[in-house]
Amino acid sequence: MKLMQLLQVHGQWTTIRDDGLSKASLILCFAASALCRAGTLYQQIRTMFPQGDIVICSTGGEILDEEVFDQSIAVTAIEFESSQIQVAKTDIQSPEQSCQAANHLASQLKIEGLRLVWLISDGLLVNGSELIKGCRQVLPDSVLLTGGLAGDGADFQQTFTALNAEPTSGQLIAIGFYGDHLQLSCASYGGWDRFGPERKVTRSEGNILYELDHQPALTLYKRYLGDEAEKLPSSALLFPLTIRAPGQHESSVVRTILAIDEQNNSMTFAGDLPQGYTAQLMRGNFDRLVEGAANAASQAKITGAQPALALLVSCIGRKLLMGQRIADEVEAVSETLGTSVALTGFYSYGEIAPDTQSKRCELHNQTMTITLIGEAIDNA
Amino acid sequence: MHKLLQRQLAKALRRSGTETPDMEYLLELISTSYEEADKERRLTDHASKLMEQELKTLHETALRQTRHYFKSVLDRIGDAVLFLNPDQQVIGCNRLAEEMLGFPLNDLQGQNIDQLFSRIPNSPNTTLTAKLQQSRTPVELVKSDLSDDSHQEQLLIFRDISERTRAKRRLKESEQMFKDYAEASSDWFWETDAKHRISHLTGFSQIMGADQMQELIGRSRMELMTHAPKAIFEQHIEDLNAHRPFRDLEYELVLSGSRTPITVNGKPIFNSDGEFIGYRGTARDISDIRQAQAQQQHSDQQLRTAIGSLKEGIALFDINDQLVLFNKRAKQLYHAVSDKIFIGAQYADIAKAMIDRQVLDLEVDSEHWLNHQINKNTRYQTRSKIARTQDGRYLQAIETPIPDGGTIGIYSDVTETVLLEQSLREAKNHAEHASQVKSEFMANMSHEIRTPMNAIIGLTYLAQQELEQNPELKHYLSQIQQSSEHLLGIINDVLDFSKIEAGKLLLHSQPFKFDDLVKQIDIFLQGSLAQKQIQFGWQLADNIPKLLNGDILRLRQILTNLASNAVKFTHKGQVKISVYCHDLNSDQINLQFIVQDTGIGISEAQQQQLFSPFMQADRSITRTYGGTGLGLAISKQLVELLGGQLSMESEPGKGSRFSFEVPLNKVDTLSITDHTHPTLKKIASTPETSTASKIFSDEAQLPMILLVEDNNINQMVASRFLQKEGLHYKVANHGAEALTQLENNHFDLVLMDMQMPEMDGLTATRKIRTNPEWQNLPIIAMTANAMSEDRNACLDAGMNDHIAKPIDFAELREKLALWLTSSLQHPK
Repeated sequence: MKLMQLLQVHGQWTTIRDDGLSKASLILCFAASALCRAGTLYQQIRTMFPQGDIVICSTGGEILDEEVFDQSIAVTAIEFESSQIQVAKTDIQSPEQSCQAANHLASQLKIEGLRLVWLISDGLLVNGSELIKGCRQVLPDSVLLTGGLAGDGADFQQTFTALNAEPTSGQLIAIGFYGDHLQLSCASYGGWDRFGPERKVTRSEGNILYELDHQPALTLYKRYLGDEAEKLPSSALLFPLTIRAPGQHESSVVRTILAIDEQNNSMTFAGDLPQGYTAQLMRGNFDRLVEGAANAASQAKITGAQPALALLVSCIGRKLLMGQRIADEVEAVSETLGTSVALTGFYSYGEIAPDTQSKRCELHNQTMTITLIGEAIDNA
Repeated sequence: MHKLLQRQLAKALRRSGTETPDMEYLLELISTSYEEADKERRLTDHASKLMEQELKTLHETALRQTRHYFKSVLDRIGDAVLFLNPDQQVIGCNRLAEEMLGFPLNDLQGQNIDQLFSRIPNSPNTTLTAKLQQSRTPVELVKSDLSDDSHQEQLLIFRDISERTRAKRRLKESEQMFKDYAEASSDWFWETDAKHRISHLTGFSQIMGADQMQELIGRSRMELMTHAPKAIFEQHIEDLNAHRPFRDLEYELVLSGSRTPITVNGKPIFNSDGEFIGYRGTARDISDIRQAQAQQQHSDQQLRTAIGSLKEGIALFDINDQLVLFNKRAKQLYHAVSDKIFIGAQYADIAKAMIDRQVLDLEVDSEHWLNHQINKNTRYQTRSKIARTQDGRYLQAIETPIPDGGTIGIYSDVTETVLLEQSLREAKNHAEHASQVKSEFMANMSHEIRTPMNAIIGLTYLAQQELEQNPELKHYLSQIQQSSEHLLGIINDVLDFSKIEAGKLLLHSQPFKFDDLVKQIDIFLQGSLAQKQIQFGWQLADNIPKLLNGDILRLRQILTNLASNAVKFTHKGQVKISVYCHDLNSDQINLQFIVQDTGIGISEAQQQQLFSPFMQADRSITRTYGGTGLGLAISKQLVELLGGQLSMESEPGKGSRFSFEVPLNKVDTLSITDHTHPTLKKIASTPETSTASKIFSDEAQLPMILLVEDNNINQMVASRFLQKEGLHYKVANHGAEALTQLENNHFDLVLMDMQMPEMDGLTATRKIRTNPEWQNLPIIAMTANAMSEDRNACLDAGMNDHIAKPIDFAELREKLALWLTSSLQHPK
């Protein structure tokens, strides 16, 4: 596997790594949504890489090497030794179509030899839980499904994705990885601490939450946020919500807020909040979050694959909380994985990865999710 | 260098693109990172506080709930509980404790328990009884220790034991009560030994004497009962041998030769080993009761004999509807069910047998009858019931409740009475029917009589017109006319009376001017007054309303009758009509009319019969004064119809005074236009009356009249009249012909008879009015159907006016002028 990594900040391109690619088969490009909106991004990349599938995704922050950037373009071109990829895309207009659209998307991929599907989705027009459900209806259990929801900084206004075209909203993109030599692993870790009383989801519809313990959830959030309430919905990420099924104490998921509705006093999350579930607010501590990221990295670590690429999908909530210190978590991942592993990725509106406990693919929020891709050296 | 600062420096370097970092950017990054740290701290602080608050609230809720549970449990247990501090003062309690001690917790708190209880246990877990200081309620109380390491507390539990105390007292009382009852219900107590020999007597000597007591002791029951009937004796011996208790054993105790009836109760007694040792019991002298019973039987027998000899059947049912008494006659009357009539028989069974055997010929459904009889709620509703039996008798049953809840029934055969009643009723119906037929016949006569009368009067009138130059013949004709009019008056009286009798006279209220009534009577009397040397006058009260609502026709009829009588029987002096008005309420007044004369008067004997029909004061009067003798009778009936009473006072030779008072409604001036002449509404405006000698003088404009009349003579009379008036006309023989004529020619007015062959006048009028062209065509009824309801029928059918036969030609001329003016002013 050969990689080439390029970064554009303040309009200047810098080459971060160059293994001397002869022909890139996949070019991943993470960019600020403002740069996606410009409408020339694809053209720029295509000029640099005339061949290979170009996948573009808007972000809440770009990860390249061991740093986190804003308002940048982070490009990673990959040339496989023996593995192949197949790409697919489909449109989505509203969250209700999530399952069906995802089903349609996954159906376009050849199943034979398929090892990993890395999914990039519009970050606002989807219900992540349904998205995964739709993919899983098509994909065999043996196929690893990871990825993330595109971001829009802290604005939650418009997200972009693209496959071999200029970025637009309302697209799902799947990259299928094929090949016996592929070495894959993934891990997801949060590092948030629960705090405050446990509450019950007393009124919700799908991914729209109205009431916790018969009190408007939005009011609760506003109380906790104090001055920061002005910055809703993004500021709600400072207090993620963890939910678990009634009677379940082990397995719980964290939900990221996507939008608020002052009129209905409701909050829209990236995944479902079923009524009757127990919910609890969470709070991050810088050190614990960094430790969480390192944890994810050590779980994902593969020995023997040289070189390898780590695709990091971390939650925008972590970045909003940690501010400039967010790079600490990427550094921690980099230190754990070692210098031979190249890093790229983005801050997202939702992470897709199997649950650490149940191994079932879930939509995560507020986690650092790492998908490690390597190719075993061919003995022949 | 700090990692963050390193990164910030790297970013600043990248930004400058040179070896020197962009210092401004670096400072901005550093400043931002401080702000971020600040924000994070603020948030954390805020969230911690909130969380603390929330958790505190949760904790308090949980605590409150626990307290609530504890209090609920405390309040629901059946014992009162006090919590005490080490000083034995109350610090808490449950609800029952508050109730029992009679204080709310607030007042109890701080009180020492010494003050609450008569005594208290010294050590925990010992139970003692005490009394509440306040209410003296006995309680049982126990103290226990609640103390732990941190605090010392004690618990005092107490419960009300007054019920237990009361139970003890009740037991004592009931023992005494039993003793009292035993003494009250018997005269003495006795005891016998195992061989049934009397061993003890208590209270006996006080009643029967000490000697008799000595005579009795030691004698066995068998000896004492020698005079008892064999069956009772043997039964008793059996009871004794079996050691069974016995009750109400009655026999005659023979002591010193005298016999005393007694009743004895006894119970076997056994020792602690269960061995029979004798009987113990009570006895009572029942001589008085026996005597009373004998008397009762005697009087019962007397009553039975009396009832048995009654002509009516008697049956007495008790509260359970069981037959307890009946006589032979009852059985005879209902012989078909006599097997069901016996002492103890149920009322319902007897009634049911009557239905099953069809004893009665019922007019109602037998099921319904049975339910009605069996149910005591309905049985008495019809006190007297007469029913026909299948064998043709009529039985009357009078069933009445008696105070103890039973029923007494008295039954009698009323066949003769019923049959007599029936024949009387039939006779009465027959008579009533005949009278009705007569009245109807009279009313129907009206039409038949009027038609020829019309011809006579009409022809007379015409003949008079022709005979201006022959005064003698003209005089004869005038005599004929007067006689005819007299005859018509008599006929009208007779017909009116028969109508009243047949109940067919109806009143027609309408608004009228009181002045009109006065004028009309003045005009009516003019003729008769002219021939007399007497004064006539009115005396009218000031407060008589100008407008009134009532039947002016009938009112006028009464007054003209009374006034013309007065004039007729008065030869010198005066006739006066006085009218007074009394307010009844805001809408009604009473008008009092008094007609007073100075005439010949009426004797007391004559007065008795004055208002009877066909009677005049004297036969001779009929000869002297004429008249049918119906006038006063009609007036009296009419006054009554109007709601008044006609009364009279009179003295022969001095004069008479007739008076009556009738209620009338006031009319407000606004509504009068709507009521006076309903017919006028059909014509746009009121035509003016013409007084010209001929109705129309302008030859060119002569109107065309359609005369609809079936009777030849009347056709001729009317035709001649119209000719003489110079009017053009055509004749139709009945309604259908009239319709054809109207189709083919133009007419300005229709004179319409009512009763005609083919099509009558009412039907014809209705048909005419269906044609929009003929809406305003004046139609005048000219008919022998002279009653006011006939007039109304004409108007309802759509006619504009009505003239009764025999025709008054002056009236006809006036009406023609009236309606023709209107018709010509408003051509169709």
